[in-house]
Order: sequence, then C-alpha cells, then structure tokens
Amino acid sequence: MLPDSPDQHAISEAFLRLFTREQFRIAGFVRSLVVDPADAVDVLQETSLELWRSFPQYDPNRDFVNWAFGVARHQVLKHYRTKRRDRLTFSEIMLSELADETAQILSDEQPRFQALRDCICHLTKRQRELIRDFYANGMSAGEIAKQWDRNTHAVYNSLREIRKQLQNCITMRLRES
Amino acid sequence: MNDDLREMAEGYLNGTLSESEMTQLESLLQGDAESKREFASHLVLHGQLGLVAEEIRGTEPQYLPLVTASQRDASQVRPVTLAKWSVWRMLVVTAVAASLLGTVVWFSTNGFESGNASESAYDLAPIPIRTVGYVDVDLNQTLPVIAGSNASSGRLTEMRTDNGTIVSVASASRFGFASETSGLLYRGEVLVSSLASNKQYAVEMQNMRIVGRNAKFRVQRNDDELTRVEALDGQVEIQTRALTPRLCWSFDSNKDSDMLQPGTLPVLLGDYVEHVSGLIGSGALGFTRSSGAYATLVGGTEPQVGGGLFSMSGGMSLEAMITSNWDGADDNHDVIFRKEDGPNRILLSFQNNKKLVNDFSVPKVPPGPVLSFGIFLRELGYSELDMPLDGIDGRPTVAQIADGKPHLITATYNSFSGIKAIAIDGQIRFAHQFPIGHCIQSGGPKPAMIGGWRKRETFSGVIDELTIFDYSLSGEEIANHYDLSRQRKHWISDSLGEHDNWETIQVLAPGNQHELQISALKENFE
Repeated sequence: MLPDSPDQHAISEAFLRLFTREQFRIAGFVRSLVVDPADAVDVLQETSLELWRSFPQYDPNRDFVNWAFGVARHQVLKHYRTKRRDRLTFSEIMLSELADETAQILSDEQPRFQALRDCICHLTKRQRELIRDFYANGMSAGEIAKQWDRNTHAVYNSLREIRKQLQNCITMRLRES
Repeated sequence: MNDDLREMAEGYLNGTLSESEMTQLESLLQGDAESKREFASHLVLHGQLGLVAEEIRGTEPQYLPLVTASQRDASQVRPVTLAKWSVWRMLVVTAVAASLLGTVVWFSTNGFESGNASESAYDLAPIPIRTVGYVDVDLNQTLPVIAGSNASSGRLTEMRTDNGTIVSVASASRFGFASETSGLLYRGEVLVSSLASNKQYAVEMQNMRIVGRNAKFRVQRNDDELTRVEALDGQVEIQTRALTPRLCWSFDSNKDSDMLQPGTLPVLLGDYVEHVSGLIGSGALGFTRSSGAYATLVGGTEPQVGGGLFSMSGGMSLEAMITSNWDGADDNHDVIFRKEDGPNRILLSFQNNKKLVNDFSVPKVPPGPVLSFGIFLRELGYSELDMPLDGIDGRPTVAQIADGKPHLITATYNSFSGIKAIAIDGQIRFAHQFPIGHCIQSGGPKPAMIGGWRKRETFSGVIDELTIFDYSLSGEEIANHYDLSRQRKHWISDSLGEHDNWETIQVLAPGNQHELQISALKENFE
C-alpha cells in the first residue's frame, strides 16, 4: 500500500507520527499479554499492520493509545484463539480482564518504566546477564542452563528471584515518588 | 503478592502450569480484584523487561534493523534509524514500513552475536558479523547487509557490494547473500552487474554457479527443474564444483612444513595428544581421556563471523575416521570437532545430557547418548541434529561405536534441499528436513579444536582423516568415501589446494542464453 496521493501521504505521516510516539507502550501491552517472545513478535507485527489498515477509521478526537490498545487486544485474543490447543491459557473473559488491567497499568507507564530501569541497576552483574540472555537474546531457560552449566530449574529459580526483587523495588520507588 | 500467587504467576510465564493449576489460577484471579491487579502487574514487568533488556547489553554495539526496505522512494520510513533502537522498536516501525512499501525484505536480527563473556563456561562475547554489501533505504540512508542474510519475497531488492557490484533480487525470490563475491539463488530471479566494478560475482546453486567479471547477467530459477542463464554484457561462465574439500588433515606427517600445505592448517597438540598409527595412511591423532587432550588448529580465523576458512554458507560437511572409547555416560561429552564462535559454532560431538532434554535439538529426541551435529542457520538459529545412539532404525548403539573398530563419521547440511544428516560407515542413519533456503552462519575469530574444547569435553580414542567441505555430500559420495576407507585408502586427492574448486563447463557470450537441468541438486536421503 504505497501512498500515492497527497491525502494518503498526509495520513501516512499522521499515523507514523502517532505510532512512533506510542509504539513502545503498544509493544509493552502486547509483550505483557503474550508471554512467548516469538509469538509476541508475531502479534505485534499483526497489530502494527492492523493499526495501519484501520487508521483511516481512527477518530483523531480519541486517545490514540486507547484506540491502539483496543486493536492490540483484539489481536491478542485472536492469537490465543488459534493457540489454545498448543498452550494452556486463560478463558477469553479472563484474558479480556487482564488486558483491561494491563492497559490501566500502562496508561501511566513512564514512572513505572523509569523505576524498572533504576531497579535493574541494583541487580548483580550476573542477574543482569541473565535478563539480557533471557529477554534480549531470546534464549530459553534450557539454552541458558546449557550455556551456563546449570540446570533449567536453577535458571527458572533465578528468574523468579530477579522478578521478585524488581517488583518489590518498583513498588517501593513508585510509593516514594 | 503472596507466595502462592507468585509461584503460579511464574509457572504461567514459564509455561509450566498444569491444566488444574491453570484452572486454579483463573479461579483465584476471578474472585480477587487485588490478585488480578498484582498478576497483571507481574505480566507488565515481564513485558517491560522484554523491552528494557536491550538497554543492559553493556558494551555491546548498537543494533542494526531487523527488517528494512529497499525502495529508493521510501522517504516515509525515516523513523527507522540505526542508533538506540531496540529490536522491538525496530519491529514495530519496520512492520509498518513494510506494509507501507509492500516490501518484506528480511536481512538480519542484528549485526552481532552476543552473550556472556566473563563468567560463563562458554565464551559468548559479542562477535560482529561480516558486512557483504549495502541496500538503500532512502536517499539519505543505506543499511548494511550481513553475511548469510536472505532477501525474500517483497519487491525488488538491490544490494551493492563494497566493490560496486550491483545485485538485484526480484520479487518472490529467495536469495542468500553469502559473501561479497557470491550469493545463493534458491528460487526466483537475480540480475548481477559488475560492469562498474570489474570484479567477479558468482550466483551459486549448490554444485553449479554462474560467474561474471566485468559482466551483466541474469539467472532465473523458478522451479527445481530448470535454471535459465542469460549473459547480457561481458563474458559469463557456467561452472561446476570440483568436489574438493576446503580443509583436510590426514595426520600422516607431524612435520610443521607439511602442515603448511594448501588445504590444511597447522595443528597444535595438547599435552595428552600424540601421533599414533593411522586408521588410514601412516598417522592419526590419539587422545587419552584427560582434561588436556585436545588439538588446536592454528589459523583460518577472521575477526568477524562470516569470515575465515570456517565460514560456510550454502552447505557443509564434516567427516572423520575415528575409533572411540566413549562410555556414553551422563554429562560426558566427547568432542570430535568444535569451533566455538558463540552461537555460530560448528560442533560434531558425542553427547549425553541424560537429565536434561537438549533445547538445541532439532528434531527433539529423548534424553540419552547422541552423536550431535550443530550449526547456526540464518533465521532459524543454532540447533543440533542429535542422532540417538539407540540401536533403532539402523542407528548404532554406544557399544557399537566404541567397539574398537574404525568408523567413518559424516555430518552434512544442504540449504538447497534443507536436509541435515548424519552418516555412520557410509550410510545415512539420521536426518532432518529444514525449510529450504537457510544459509549457514559460521566462521569468526575463535580457534577450531579437534578432540576437545579447551579443557572440557575431551575425546577418548583416535581421530584420523578429518575433512571439512564447504558443500553437502551426497549419499553416493559418502558411500564412496566409506568404500575407500575400508580399503585403507585416502579419499581426498593429494593435489588438494593446487587447483580451483570450480571448473568452467561453458562460456556464454553477450546475448546468449543457456538452460540448465538441475533436478540432480535435489538429494533425498530417504
């Protein structure tokens, strides 16, 4: 879909301006609800494309993020409908409720996100490396276990401890602020 | 968050909850708004960690984009910038850019392989991947194309190499950018022009290639049966592979001077490795079970993945004669060959992770003793073909491998057929079909090792006739090597390295076309 008229070009620019500003939050929404990173990438791509396709129907008086969350939520539910046979998951009602909660939390995500950045700095080097391998490098717990000469269970335990520390740290910082 | 909810939340993230635990978790969340909020908060932490983790790579270099576009008039994708963008951000913008442009050209996840260099037993320090050319994103920006990446689908993709050769890949094609001077055509059409560069560029299709220097030519491959070559300008040659290996070691001589011949590299022996009587020829390497029993190959490396003598692309094969004393015990690995460039490693090893299912296994096999062949395939990642040593379907048992007799081990991968296979004594015993068109990504700065890896995973037994091919071996070739080995004959020519690995079979003048039947390229081991 190449924009070939001035109107279409203006629409493209408007979309990219809004989307570029909010993409991080939209990605956070999808990544929170679709646990598997590879699946999340697929859902995010579908969401991005659907946002672009639906943009002509977007009412500029509405909040763009809320509209985008609505589109993303539809894509997440669609994903779980097709994945239900492969992975145990929640009912559609519960997924919708969790999507609402997630959207609510992310509606003011900046302080939370900054707190997370700060809290990560207080982790040990080893813990940061584990986060990097698991989240940034997309390695499974089993792959990390093999590369670090640990067993998979130990990796899961470490991830649990890291998330617990971070959650406590974030809660404390948000309270302080 | 209480401990029970945290345990269940972790189980949900890890995908380890049972059906009844899942039901229990949903009931808990349904009836308790506070728990639901805390659970959602845990999910958000997981989601945001996925986004922020990119920022804690420390000293790692910046990313290159995951998806890019090739249209010169793509000024509307300016939000794609190189610096400070996480893969996630890239994905979002580029997915939109792709839809705007109607173009889907997948090049690379990033330009580096990364990992923990300091504390892990495995050295996963970041290794840059060689850049083989550039594509234009818009009038002001070009993006690098790394070795092994693919152009696939979408509109015309135009890459230019450093020396000015222009490689144009048509829509609905699949083309692998193997190096600065060659690419792999799996399907579709490619137009090559080296008129401005006066350099050579080759389009490979397994054991054939089309080469032009200071020429312009088109290659079309729209099905497996017929390939059309058209010389548009300059002289174009059709060549076949001479079927000689890239590297081999007979170990018949322990003189350094003999180790400096073409087609081989000097071997630095560890303390517990010695020259012994050959399984083929006069010499071999004997390894005793010890932490120092390994040999290091000197050279053949380059700073970047995609460089050096161990950089493969369209296919590869590893072959060795061995006698093994492996006991198949849990956690005891006996390495035959290993080059450990992070996840871009090349591995041929006996392994047993009895208590741990190997997550690298493709296809998955039950825990137990295996012969493992590991390589990194672009877009698919590192995986190991783990052949169970279970005595089933023609596969040997550990006892049959470690029976004191010589065995020929062959591991091979062919990106044109997608088949990765392991053969013992001339016969394919285990194979897996990958999707067609995934290049190998290997090579780099780390030294290659025989019979061990650092002080770990040391081989016990004798290794002889180690041979590395930069293409896949056919079942017939493997069987032929085994027949020669039974006669205790070398199967590699003594003149290795003295001639070109490609032989010209036809020269096309400008304006000429030629059609090739290449159905023979499709090898089916079953």
